[in-house]
Amino acid sequence: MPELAYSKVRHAAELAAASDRDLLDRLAKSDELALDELVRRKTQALMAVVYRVLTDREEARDVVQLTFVRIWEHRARYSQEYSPNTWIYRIATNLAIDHLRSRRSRERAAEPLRLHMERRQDAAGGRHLARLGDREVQGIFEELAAGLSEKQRAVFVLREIEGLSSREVAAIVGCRESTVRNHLFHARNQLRRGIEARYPEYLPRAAPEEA
Amino acid sequence: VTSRICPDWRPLADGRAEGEERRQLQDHIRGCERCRIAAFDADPLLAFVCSTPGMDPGDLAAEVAAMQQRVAGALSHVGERRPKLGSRLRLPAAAAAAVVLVSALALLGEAGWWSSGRESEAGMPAAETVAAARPSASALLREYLAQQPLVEVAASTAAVDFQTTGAGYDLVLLVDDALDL
Repeated sequence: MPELAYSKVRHAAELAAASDRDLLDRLAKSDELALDELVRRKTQALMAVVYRVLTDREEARDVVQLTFVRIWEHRARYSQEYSPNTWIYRIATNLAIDHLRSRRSRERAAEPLRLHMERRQDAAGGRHLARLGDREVQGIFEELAAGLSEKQRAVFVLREIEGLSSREVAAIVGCRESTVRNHLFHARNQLRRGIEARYPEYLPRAAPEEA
Repeated sequence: VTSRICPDWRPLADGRAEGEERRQLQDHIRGCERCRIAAFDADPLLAFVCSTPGMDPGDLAAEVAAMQQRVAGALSHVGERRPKLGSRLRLPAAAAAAVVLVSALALLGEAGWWSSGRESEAGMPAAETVAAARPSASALLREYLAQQPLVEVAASTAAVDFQTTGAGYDLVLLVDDALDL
């Protein structure tokens, strides 16, 4: 009796229960369903990170797509010394940084004046930063982060927004932890100065002096 | 009236919060206006730290499905042998059943399991002819083949298929409780 070859549905169910590391091991053996499972598992997280770096959803989709293609192409090169997330984020972050550099070489990101004025008007109308929608906050971030270097931006997103440790960010970006702290320090300063200069209305008002 | 004790969000502002604690504080600030105002007053950069990228949960499934298609398409395009898995996996199981049953019967035909027989309404050869021409087939298989295969389309995703190859034949078994075979 020949051995039954495989069952795709059962195999997919097994993959859904597998750890990220197991998935990458199976990927290294050219298991195509493992790639589908990886896409299912990581698309949301990668879209979140890459979108914050690029602030353009379509471009983020392109970069995330390319990330998965690179993961497949380099499947045999995955090294167990990295955690799966570090390896995957490293590919995605490097691609996002490259994309950002290439975009900046084509054109400087510029905030349309009309939107800018609308936002200022909103703020002048007494809106607190805490009451802005996510899209508006993202728009301000996009404007202010345009002044950061690609690595400063990536480090700020990974460390401050995604909450990864300095060690993880260093492994992803490919630098020392001290460099990560340095990038973060400058990114925070630059963003803070940007808010002070362009959106002073969102800064806390000084408490009125008592009579 | 509800009351709750808000966590201390200051570890998020001064960078002491890590890992799960950090995520919990971010979630809390997103959901608690009072803490959000206080936290953003203390450090406006927390507005960026606590914003979400704005993807609706309802869009996630569509986003993932589209991404699977895009990745499969890109890999095909760059010459990797990977087929378009996304579309293949989304094929309804019963439709897949129709494909494999017809393919199996066609392969049996090519292997010379029958030379003539009446055509069924669906245009397939009579299954009992197939069974009769294959005396070495197991009793269970012959009994199954003696029935007219019923192919129906159902929105089932529970099908499990087993494939095996022997000398001169390919056999595909599709097991699905939802199919009325």
